[in-house]
Amino acid sequence: MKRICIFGNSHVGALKEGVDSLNRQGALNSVDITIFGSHRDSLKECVVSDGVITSDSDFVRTNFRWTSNGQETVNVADFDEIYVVAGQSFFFVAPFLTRSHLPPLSDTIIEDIMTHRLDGWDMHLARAIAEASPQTQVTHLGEPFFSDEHPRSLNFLREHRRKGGQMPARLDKVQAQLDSKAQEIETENFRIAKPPEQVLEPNRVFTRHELCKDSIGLNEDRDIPHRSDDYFHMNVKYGEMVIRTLVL
Amino acid sequence: MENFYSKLKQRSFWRSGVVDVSPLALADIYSKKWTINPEWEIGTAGSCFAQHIARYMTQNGYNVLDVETAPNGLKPERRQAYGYALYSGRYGNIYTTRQFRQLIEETFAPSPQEVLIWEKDGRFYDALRPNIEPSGFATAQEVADARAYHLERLRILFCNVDMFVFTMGLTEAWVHQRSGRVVPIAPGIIAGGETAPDYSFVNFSYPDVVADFQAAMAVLEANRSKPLRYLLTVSPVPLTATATGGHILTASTYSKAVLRAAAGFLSDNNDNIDYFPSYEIVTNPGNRGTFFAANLRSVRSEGVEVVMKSFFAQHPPETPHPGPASKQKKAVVSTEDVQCEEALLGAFGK
Repeated sequence: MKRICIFGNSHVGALKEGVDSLNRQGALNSVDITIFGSHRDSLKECVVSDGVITSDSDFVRTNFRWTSNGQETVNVADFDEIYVVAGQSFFFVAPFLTRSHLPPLSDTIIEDIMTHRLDGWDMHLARAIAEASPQTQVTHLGEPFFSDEHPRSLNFLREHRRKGGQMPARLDKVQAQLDSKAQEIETENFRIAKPPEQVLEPNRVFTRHELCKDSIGLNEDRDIPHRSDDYFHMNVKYGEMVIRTLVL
Repeated sequence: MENFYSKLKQRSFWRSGVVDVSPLALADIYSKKWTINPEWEIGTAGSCFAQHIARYMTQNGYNVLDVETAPNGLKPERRQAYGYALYSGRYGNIYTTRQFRQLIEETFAPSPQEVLIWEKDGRFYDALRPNIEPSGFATAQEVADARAYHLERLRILFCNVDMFVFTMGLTEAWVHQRSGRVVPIAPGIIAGGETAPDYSFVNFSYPDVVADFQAAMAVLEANRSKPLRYLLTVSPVPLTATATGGHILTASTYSKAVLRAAAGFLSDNNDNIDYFPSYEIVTNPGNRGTFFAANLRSVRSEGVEVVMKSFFAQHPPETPHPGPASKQKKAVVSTEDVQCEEALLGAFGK
């Protein structure tokens, strides 16, 4: 049985919901999935030492304990695959946008932005996890792209339509360079993955809003729905789609 | 017995206006023509020195527009290297009034103009702003696309601003003979060396400078629906090099004299143009050269501070000016903290 770890911030909530739902459907018989979650950017305080992801923070250890059913640290070698769901997805185009649109960007600016992105704490942590156990496949998935009904998304999509052919060409260029960079930095056991196509709107820039509705927060005791204007956390359907596409 | 000088203020005499006063606090050197309304949207452009003015105004609460912001994910410390966050648009330094005029004419041209493209080592540069992409673009088409976007953004800028701050920097320029357009730096310095025969040298005269600025104003007036005010300054930064073949000191003095006279004429004859004497404040003999860095060109932070203090004395900022010890101020006024392709010419000095 494949042992899988999903390690991340509050966005693991959607994946946990997805895992629970798929378990109920009997769809996860060939995998054993353990989730380690801790809210906001508390994972910044994690370090990888002697093959174990640990944290000095009581907050993080407590969260790990209840999300994983009892473990305060992550022994990397215990897993065949680890998915890191923290930090912005490398494939999210928001860093390339100005307020409401995508300007034409040179390859050097795109490279500059990607380099900055790859220098983020979440990327460093994901790589450190991969280095800790060569037989464990580590994937940086990052947080979901935000909903296509977020006000900034709506502005962008409006501009996108208004510009006709120009914006798709600009977008294609950025996305092609992101794909190429992701391949370039891939190692034997480290890769960066993008969200599955089916969770995204047709431009592949934002998550379909229906996957954002009725999302549930990552809470130990009870199910607390996210606010109705939360455009960032996704729901059980999203979690199912991601697990089915990337993990199974 | 009274004469024409009897009732003049102290500022009108060399001894009491310059010799006997601190160069750090020249009284009455500038009296504003009009008050800057806090609601006004302000545009900035000009030679390198204008970057200081733009940043100081922004950080003191003035509504300085930036219609061409950097992508969100570009690190703040990398933005200026790509020509972002320097001025209200990503046009780089505009050293001459001819450049200013042609930019405005191109912005409002009924049909797209030919894009002047330079090449170097298989990379492509916009000859009218070659410094905005340090490594150039991958293709000539990308240069053209970026320029089209730039002009689209500038139409927003030039139609919306209520006041435009322009710092005149140079009179010497290089003209593309076929199109008549000037470039900010000689071909071959950044790129485009093989196109050098297509360009000729020009040293603009006083009538040229005045006429170019007036022409720019006319195009703006024809394309706008509200009044526009201009704040003119002259950069105190001497030329790095002259292509006249003459001595750099006489060439620099000529340029600055022409620009200063043109700015004065334009201000004296237009109610909507004010002249701010940053040139005089920095080059004041009372400073004994201390406002210039060791290269005798770059203006030291203390000089910029005095210039802006004089400006804000007449145009009090909306938010308090940060104190001298503030980190923010230090970041603003570093002599090296400006993007200035003209300085590259210094490398050619023997």
